Amino acid sequence: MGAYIVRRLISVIPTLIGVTIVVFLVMRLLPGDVAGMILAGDGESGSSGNMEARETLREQLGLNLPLHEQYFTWIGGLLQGDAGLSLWSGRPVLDEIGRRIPLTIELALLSIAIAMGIGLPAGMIAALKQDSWVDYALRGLSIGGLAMPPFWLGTLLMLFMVVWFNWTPPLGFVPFFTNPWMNLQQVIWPALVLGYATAAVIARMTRSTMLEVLREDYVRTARAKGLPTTTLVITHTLRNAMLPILTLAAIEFGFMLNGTVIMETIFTLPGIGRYLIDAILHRDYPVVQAIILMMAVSFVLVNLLVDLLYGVLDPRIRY
Amino acid sequence: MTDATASHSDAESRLTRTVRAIFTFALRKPLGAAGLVIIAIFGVLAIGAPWLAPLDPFQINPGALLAPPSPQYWLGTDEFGRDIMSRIIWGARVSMFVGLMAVAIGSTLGAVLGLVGGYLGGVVDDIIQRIVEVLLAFPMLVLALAMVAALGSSTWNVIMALAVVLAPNAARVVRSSVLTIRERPFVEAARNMGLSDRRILFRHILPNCVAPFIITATAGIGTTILSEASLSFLGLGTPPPTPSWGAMLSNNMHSYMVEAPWMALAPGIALTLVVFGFNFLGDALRDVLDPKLRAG
Amino acid sequence: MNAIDKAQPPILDVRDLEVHFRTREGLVRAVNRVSFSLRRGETLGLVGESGSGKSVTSLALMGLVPNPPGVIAGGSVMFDGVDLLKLPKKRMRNIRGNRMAMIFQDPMTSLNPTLTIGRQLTEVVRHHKGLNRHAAQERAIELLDLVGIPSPARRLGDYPHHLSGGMRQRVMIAIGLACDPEVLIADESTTALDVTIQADILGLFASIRERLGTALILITHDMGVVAGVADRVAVMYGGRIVEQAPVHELFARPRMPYTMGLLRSIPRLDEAEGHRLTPIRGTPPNLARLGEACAFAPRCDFFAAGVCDRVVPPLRPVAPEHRAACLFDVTLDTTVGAMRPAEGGAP
Repeated sequence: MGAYIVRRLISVIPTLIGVTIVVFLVMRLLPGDVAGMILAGDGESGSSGNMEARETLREQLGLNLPLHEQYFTWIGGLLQGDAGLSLWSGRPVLDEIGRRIPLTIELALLSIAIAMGIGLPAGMIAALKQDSWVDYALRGLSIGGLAMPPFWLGTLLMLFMVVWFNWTPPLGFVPFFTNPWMNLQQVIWPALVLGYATAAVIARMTRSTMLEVLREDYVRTARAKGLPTTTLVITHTLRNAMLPILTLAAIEFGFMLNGTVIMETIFTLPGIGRYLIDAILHRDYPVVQAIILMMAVSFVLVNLLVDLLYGVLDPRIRY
Repeated sequence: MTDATASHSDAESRLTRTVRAIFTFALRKPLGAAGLVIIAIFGVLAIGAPWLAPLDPFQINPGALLAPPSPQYWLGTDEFGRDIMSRIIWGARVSMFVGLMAVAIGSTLGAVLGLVGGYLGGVVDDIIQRIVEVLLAFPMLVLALAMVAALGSSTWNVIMALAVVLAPNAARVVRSSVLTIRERPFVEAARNMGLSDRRILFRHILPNCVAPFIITATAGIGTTILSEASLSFLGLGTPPPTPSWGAMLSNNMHSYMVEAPWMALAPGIALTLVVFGFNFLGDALRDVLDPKLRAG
Repeated sequence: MNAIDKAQPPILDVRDLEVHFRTREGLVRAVNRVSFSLRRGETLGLVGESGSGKSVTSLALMGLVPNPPGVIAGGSVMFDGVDLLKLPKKRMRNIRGNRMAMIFQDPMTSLNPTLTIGRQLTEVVRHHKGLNRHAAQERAIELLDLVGIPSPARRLGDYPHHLSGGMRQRVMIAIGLACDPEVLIADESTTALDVTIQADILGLFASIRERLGTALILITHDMGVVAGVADRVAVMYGGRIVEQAPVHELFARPRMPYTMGLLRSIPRLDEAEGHRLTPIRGTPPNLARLGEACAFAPRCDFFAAGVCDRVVPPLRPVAPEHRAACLFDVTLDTTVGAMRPAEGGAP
């Protein structure tokens, strides 16, 4: 078992390196002169300051160094905990990110909790009562969650609350520990939307996996033993259905990362997602790089975690 | 067992067989047929936009800003007085075009990579695998965002960005198909007969990968259309003034939407319907194609 | 042969069992008015091709017919005086696995890959007999020993994929016997195994009969399997029982052309070398299209137009304890064309 963990950990490293290379290259692909755009403010091309100012900026940003040197400088800095300075605010990137991360994490956790809490039971019930009206109702709801764009749902929800309840989006964001109640009021809405959309996917996957497992021969054997339905479901079915569902959970995490970007934008919450968009619009490249890198790395790590969990749940894989 | 002999049947009967298959499909899978109808409707709207749209979507009507739905403006007007109905119809163009193009390019690219990697194996496969893994490490929207941010905001850039995001999945699916089929006895037999690698690839392996490929590709269309809409929503997709459903729902519109709620409904409903359509079709296709996969 | 107490009423009495399936092609009568009985301690061989209805019959006995698309359309299954078909689900569950058990064909897929052997054994006894963990484990070891698995105590912690096919089948049998059932149904237990292992498993069945006195229903398509272990044989075709007799009688004096065909197609040691096997011509019937005719008619050498395609042959007595469903008096010596119609004529 230990050997398996070590092997998986090692195999992740080339992927992580690849990720850093991709992030680095994508940012360096930018057309036009980065320095020029920054000086011109907000990325409008046009008169872009005098040559001297541009050159100084280029020196500062290290843009005159050969590509691979820039890469290693950047990586070196990262490993020491330095992701550069934000071009927009001048403060260290990691600080800026650090201030905004708690919100995103809170939003993500809340959404996942809602998604799993609704999606898993819904999928299981739909599978057990296949082709009944319960099944059709649940499937209808989940198809809705899949097709309706989350940003539309979020927008509608916002509008609904503003128009019908005269609710105005709170102006300042209140962190959780300062005032949990107010904080939840702000975060629950995007979490609900995101949670619903994700629950839809989870429910569908759970239902189809359960159906497949219920058709397996060993479930028939368990039935032949005269075991009651609850035992049947929990011990025999769920264990085997868990595996694909877990993979799905990992994918859903990626979905979450996408979703927070949108939800934070709609509900104007100061999290990483919105920061990313702002940074892109402001051409704040160090920030963009750092955030994308962080998202990708966390996604890889989550997948790794799921892989390891696989090993725990399915004895066949260990050997 | 499967399609080694099917590829030898004459083209004529294949056509009639396909047509008949479509009819049976429609009868057996009403949802799938409904999806097909929805897609067809939007397709027609998309292609025939210049002729079907009642008014010019770009035309500003200062006298009728944020007008509610009326006989003249079926779905009302937006903040510039532009007819929303026409913008929806033209928006279909963007969504369908971007969606289908991105999926076509991305899936094909991915499929080629999967084929090559799966069949040749060895170092080539390892390299391709690595690239696929790295690309898959990025959440879809984030990667597309990064690429659009880097390349600039234009329709083709959006298409390419989305294509890159889709390619890894197609590559994976095709590769695993190839790996399974490569081990089958009939491929072994073909190789023993001395057929060239290319012949084996195209005549024997490829036809058997088609089914999972189609399933993955159709499943991706809905997500891609939503992704394009999300990008436009964030202001990083199709540039204005081209009407895009996502952009019509963007945050800037919120203040207008409070006064004119109809603005919020039409684009979202259109998006939902189109995605429904492709999802239903994809599901139905999967049901039809999948059992054959299992039996094979 | 152990002594079967003929004085006692049969433990299992099936009357006119009907199981229907709704398919795209129409209503399939998978089990079409099947009747048979099983005495305590007796071994019944249920023989037939794929699609003859033998597996569905046993599923119906256990209440395991998948619904949808299958439905029990009629008949009764009397188990120790109680009609199983009319029992509420909960009471049926008490009987299933406990007093009547079934084991399935493919030991690879019929055992849960994520649970240990020990767990899969103990859960049955713990559920039905309420044993605590320790007692259940003891019982599990006892069972594994009974079915001939070496070092049973160590096997408890193994997973199914650690065992060979033959061992897995033995474990399945152990699971079936866990609660000391009165009836054990074995569906094609030897089909997925090598011939040598088949022999072992059949030997195991024989010893179970001797030692435990369990009544056994052996479902198989292989007449050879039945010859060694069964007391009586019922042959099924097209959803119906077409012949029933004690095993020696059936092999020596078959009275239905299908049975004869089956017997002819087994390779035998006492045949001359070079003797060709005679398969039954034609293909199994489409169960959705059975009409008022003998289901075997299209493949029967003795087919008589105007008779065999008009009426469903009833299962009638042709000898003591021997019944056959043929409209004619056919024996191994009858020549084609020279058949005498059955006494009593067609109804």
